[in-house]
Amino acid sequence: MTGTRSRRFATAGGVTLVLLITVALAAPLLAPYDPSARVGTPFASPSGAHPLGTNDIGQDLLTTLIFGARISLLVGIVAALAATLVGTSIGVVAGYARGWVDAAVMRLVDVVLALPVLPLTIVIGVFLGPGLSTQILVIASVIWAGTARELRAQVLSVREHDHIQALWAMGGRAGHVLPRHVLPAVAPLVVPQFVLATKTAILLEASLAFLGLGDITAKSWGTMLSLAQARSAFLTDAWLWWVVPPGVAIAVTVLSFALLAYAFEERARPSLADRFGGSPGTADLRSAVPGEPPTSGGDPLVIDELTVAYRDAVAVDRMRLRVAPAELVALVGQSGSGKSTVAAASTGLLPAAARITGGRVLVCGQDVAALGPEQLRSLRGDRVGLIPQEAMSALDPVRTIGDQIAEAVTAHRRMGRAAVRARVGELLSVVSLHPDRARDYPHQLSGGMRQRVVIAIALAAGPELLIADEPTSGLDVLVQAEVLDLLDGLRRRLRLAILVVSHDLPVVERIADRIAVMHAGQLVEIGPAGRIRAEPDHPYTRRLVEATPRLRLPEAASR
Amino acid sequence: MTRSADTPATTGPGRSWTCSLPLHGVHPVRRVAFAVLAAALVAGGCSAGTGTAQPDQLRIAVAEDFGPLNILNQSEDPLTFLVYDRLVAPSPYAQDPQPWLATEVRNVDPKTWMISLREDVTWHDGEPLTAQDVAFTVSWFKEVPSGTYTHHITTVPHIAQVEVLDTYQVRLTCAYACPFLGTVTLAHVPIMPEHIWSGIEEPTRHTELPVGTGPYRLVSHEPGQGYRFEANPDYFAGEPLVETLLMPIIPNPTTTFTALRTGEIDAATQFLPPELVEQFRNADDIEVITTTPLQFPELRINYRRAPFDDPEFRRALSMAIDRRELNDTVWLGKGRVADRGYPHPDSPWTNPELRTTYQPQAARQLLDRLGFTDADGDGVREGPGGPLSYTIYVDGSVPVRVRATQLVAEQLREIGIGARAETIDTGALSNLLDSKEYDLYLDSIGAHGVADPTQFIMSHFSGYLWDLPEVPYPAFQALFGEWKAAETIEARAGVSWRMQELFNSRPTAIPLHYPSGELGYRPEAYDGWVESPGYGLVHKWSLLPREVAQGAGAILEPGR
Amino acid sequence: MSRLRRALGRAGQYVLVLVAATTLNFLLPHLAPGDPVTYRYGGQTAALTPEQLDEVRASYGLDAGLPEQYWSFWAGLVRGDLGVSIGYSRPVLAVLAERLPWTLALVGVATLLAFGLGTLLGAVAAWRRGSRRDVGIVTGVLALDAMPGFWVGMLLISVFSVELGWFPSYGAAAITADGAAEWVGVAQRMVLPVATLTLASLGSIFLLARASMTSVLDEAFIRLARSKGISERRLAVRHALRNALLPVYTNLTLAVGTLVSGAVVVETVFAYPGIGRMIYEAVIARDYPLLQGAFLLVTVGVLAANLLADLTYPLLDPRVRRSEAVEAREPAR
Repeated sequence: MTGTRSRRFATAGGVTLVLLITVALAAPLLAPYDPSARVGTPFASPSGAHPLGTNDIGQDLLTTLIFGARISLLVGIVAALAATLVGTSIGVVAGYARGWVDAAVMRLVDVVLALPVLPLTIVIGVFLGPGLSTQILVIASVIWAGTARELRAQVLSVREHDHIQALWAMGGRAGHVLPRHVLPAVAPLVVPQFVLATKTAILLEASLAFLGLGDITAKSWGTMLSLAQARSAFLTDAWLWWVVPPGVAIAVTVLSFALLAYAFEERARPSLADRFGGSPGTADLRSAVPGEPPTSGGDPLVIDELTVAYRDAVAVDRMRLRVAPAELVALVGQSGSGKSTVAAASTGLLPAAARITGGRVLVCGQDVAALGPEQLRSLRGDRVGLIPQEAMSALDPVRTIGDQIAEAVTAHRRMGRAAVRARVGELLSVVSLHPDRARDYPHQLSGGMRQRVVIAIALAAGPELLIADEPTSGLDVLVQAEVLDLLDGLRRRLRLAILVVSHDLPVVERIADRIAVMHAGQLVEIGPAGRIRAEPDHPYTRRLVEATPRLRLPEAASR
Repeated sequence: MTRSADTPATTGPGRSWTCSLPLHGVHPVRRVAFAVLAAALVAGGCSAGTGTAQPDQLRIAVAEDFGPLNILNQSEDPLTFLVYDRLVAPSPYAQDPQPWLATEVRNVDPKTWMISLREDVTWHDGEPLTAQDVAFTVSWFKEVPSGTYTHHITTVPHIAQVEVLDTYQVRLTCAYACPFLGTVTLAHVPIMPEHIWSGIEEPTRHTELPVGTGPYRLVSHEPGQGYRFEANPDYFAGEPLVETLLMPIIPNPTTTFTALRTGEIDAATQFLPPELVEQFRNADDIEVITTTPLQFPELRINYRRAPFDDPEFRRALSMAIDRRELNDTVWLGKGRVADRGYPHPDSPWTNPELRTTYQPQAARQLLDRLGFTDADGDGVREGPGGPLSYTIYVDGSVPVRVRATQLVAEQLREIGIGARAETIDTGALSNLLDSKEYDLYLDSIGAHGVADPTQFIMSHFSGYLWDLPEVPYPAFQALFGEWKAAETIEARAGVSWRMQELFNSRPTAIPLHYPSGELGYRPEAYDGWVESPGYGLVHKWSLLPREVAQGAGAILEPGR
Repeated sequence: MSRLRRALGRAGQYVLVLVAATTLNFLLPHLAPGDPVTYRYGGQTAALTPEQLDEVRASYGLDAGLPEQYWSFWAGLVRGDLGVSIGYSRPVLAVLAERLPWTLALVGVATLLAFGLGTLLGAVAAWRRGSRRDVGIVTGVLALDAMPGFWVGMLLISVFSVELGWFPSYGAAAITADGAAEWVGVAQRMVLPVATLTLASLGSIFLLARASMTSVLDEAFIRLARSKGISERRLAVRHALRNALLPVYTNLTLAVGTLVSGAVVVETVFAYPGIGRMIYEAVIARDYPLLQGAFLLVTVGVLAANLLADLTYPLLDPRVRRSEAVEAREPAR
């Protein structure tokens, strides 16, 4: 969805720009008069002969406007090209070389950024004298620094990528790594930088003209505007035809550049919505859909013929699944199988692009899809707790963990401050953390501790159902076992129904009562953990079981 | 200051006083002695001639920050002379100046002037004005770098000696005949308080508010924001009509006239741009008066450089300028065609016979005769130093002048001189005269330059119109000799006229247009505005009882 | 120990940047053609003689060679003396002190507004990214951002001063008023210039905030927070916005430079007696001492804003509150 939006922006910006450039190039053909000819009476109002009237010496304003596109675009584009070229080279070199080169260059950038742009432009402009080339030079010389800084930051982050690190470790030379691997990675950012520079250049040109420091004999939109204001157009009706058109022309040009930059930036930074998505279901598998008979009540989680689609792609196809109190069901499948979509649907947290097209999800008997936002809100946390993916980043980095747990508590219960604090301490103890940890920030905890905090949050309001979406991702093996054992213990102690979603069969099979296997959006097999491991029915399950190397932990260690 | 907002425009059908100027002679004003008149007026009290109720305060926009009106730094006459007075009023540009701080100014022989002072004048701080102050002023201006006041005391004319005869009597003695002293010099130089300035080491850096004798005291100056003047209730010529003058500083004309329209200000010292005149005339709450500013835009020629050092070449340039086209196109047909040369034709001291006409054919023939021909047929003539291609500089922040420059360049190309307009900033432009690094440029010149007969001479020594004695100019030097020897105003005027003829036949500055100046104000706030030559409407004469201003010969009788 | 060293190194970098910027600021105006004394005291009719001009030049120390002037500039700076403005005949410090409050007020309020409004709009737009509301806000803000500042200012005057008469069209203080009325006047006169300046700098802050909010909304902790069943408002403000603020805040100091540039134009349009217009006038008048002082002030201001952001950033981000505080961030953001 955002993809089309950014495409639409890019199209709008691109078309406008192409149009403007065409107008600039074809100015002599399009303009009704010679731009320097005095063809009418000065200060004439619009008429058939002069649709925008005439200026202070009787030149046709429409002609001036059309020819203005040339200078404005020329100044904007050339200055921006120069600035982007210089800025990119410097930024890339600094980011790549690091060390003293980087330090020196970045201090220079800081110097330029610390200088006030417009006054500096004025000084340089005055120093170099008037003229178009001066203006371009002046403008370029003050806007390159921003680009350099942005690109350097980008190069620095690209450097940290695994493959670049690997190339570096293998003795890759700068001459090879830079153009082949670093530049392509930062290139998407150069475009928006260029576009922004163009915008800045065009606006600077106009400002300089306004201050009387532009080249008033060059007919840009900026000089047209500054002339209009110098000849009192703001005080007469003339502003309608003398001030608004060039102002709008500048705004439209800049806007089209901005839209382009925006679209490029969006493309370089795709959103979560696009990252989800499953492969469409295949017909040959559909015939063999197993599953559980629909039940209307009792169980905390009942998934009944659930079908979820992202636009036209079906991510989950007629899924059926139940989780009973104190039962731990593992939902296993490779990435893209639709298992995370099932988890999301179960908490009413489907991404905006996803739609439930069939079936339903019942949490404690309530149809999640049928709930309004407020009902959904009171369901979450209170009846169903979620342990999301990416345990390492699942906690808000700027709030204490105590605060975050307390929030989960008070979202559903009105409690006194002391009671909340006591409850937070209790929850921390439940997940085997010291209550004093409440004052800590997430970055002060290890990965395993953080995941425990996340579990504490999920438990905070005392739900009947827990959905754990890849609860062990990013944790090392020993910690994984600890976390899973914690979950296993909790469901027994609190009679929780738990659905663990994982791509890793061996990790979950140890604690799961039952295992459900998903492939391409469909549930291909479900059954007791022991049977699935020992004698999988479905060929896909078999592949899954056989493909995974079995890392056997001693049974004793897990209890 | 001559950095004016060059806007001008419309002359209505010329002001009547202009036409009534005696064409063949400057009034002999050898003796200016209307001693009693002013005193009588003071006694008569301060009945205003306008009939409207007088406001407590007026808000008048000024275009520039002139600092705390230190006379040695930025000075803007209409503001400066709210605070200060001269011995003779109102200015060197008026036809019939009258004694002001003086009761009598008498030319006892060609080199000697006797001055009697009023005895009832006090400085703003209560000190009395005495002959000592006059003597101090003369000797002080000789020492301190004031530019204009200094050279009109040390050079043209040259006051060699000043004697205090008694508390209110001074005698000035010139090094050579000085018939203009009474009507020009003494109408130009402000009288400064000795007790303030005698103790100041670095007077150019003095930033205290000024102490004068004038009708208004400057009570505050907020840099970049504005001025506040309060009436001087003890003013010898009568109490000013408005108690407080607030003068906000608004550099941008659009902002100024917006404020005038919204009623945030009551008047402005900036001329209305020609394109706004009709609109403001038609506005119910705004009145517009057309004045004749003594200033004009001009093309300056670097007479030090070839081929501009050739008088004939300069004459060809002058003949190539189509002043009517400039008037019609750039100045929208307002103001007057500048076909009467330099100085300003409305100055009482200008030769009325001067004519500078557009003769492109004659210009071409003259250039041919001088040997500047277009041998290679590219439309640009060549001389010994190569093609005649020149840049005309102009201040980029004044669009009207840029337009004029573009048009002048076009007109020069018509006679085969390759000319191109180039904009530079005000700072660089102001340095051109000094650096001498130019061929041609466009600038504007104000009242003191174009209406003061002694300044016309001085301008030939300052580097502006000529650079004597660095660059010899025998024809002018001969006339200057005659001029110095002339002992009467008539004789001087005669020589002046010949100098002006000489100048216009080989000009180093070509006036491009005689502008008219429309000034707008809100009559419901104050309706007493009158024009004083070269000063527009905002000056002390508009703020004093009408009879006082009339008695001083300070105002042009309004036709209203 | 290493913390102190790091702090010292950082201070050293700041000083280095300051010296380099100041040197550039010193050199550039001197390279332009023109001369402050000729500008002020020259001219066609009021001209001082060449000897007098030289005298005035000498009195401002302008007769010395450039290296000498540069040296005495630093010598003066060390003593806290920025020299005497040629255009104002007064100590540069006094002139700056008069103008600074106006610009500070203008730029300060505009910064806060642009920051607040830009962040808010950015957050709102990002909240439902790709929605009609998002597209509307993005297009609107980008369009505003695309308008030249002086154009916006003049239009605001046309509408709000001329047509509606709501606000004064020029100046900083009603020189007619005293006491409380004076402050009301000051506030009234700030409205339009501040609005212009805010609109001119809104765009970049908005885009940054929107991008930042977008990536924060993708974070796992937002999913977790939402799964707690807290209200959307609480989620948006306490978790999403709070985190999205961080990069916006660190980039705020960059906006200060932009705002000062904007102030030049805005102060010209509204006849506002601030530093911006003064710098412009000083450039035209080639008032070297004043220019040097003003540029130094702006540079120090930008660096101080940088430093302030550096020092206050740990208050916003607990992750850098410990000893790693200074290093954890990109330098000079």
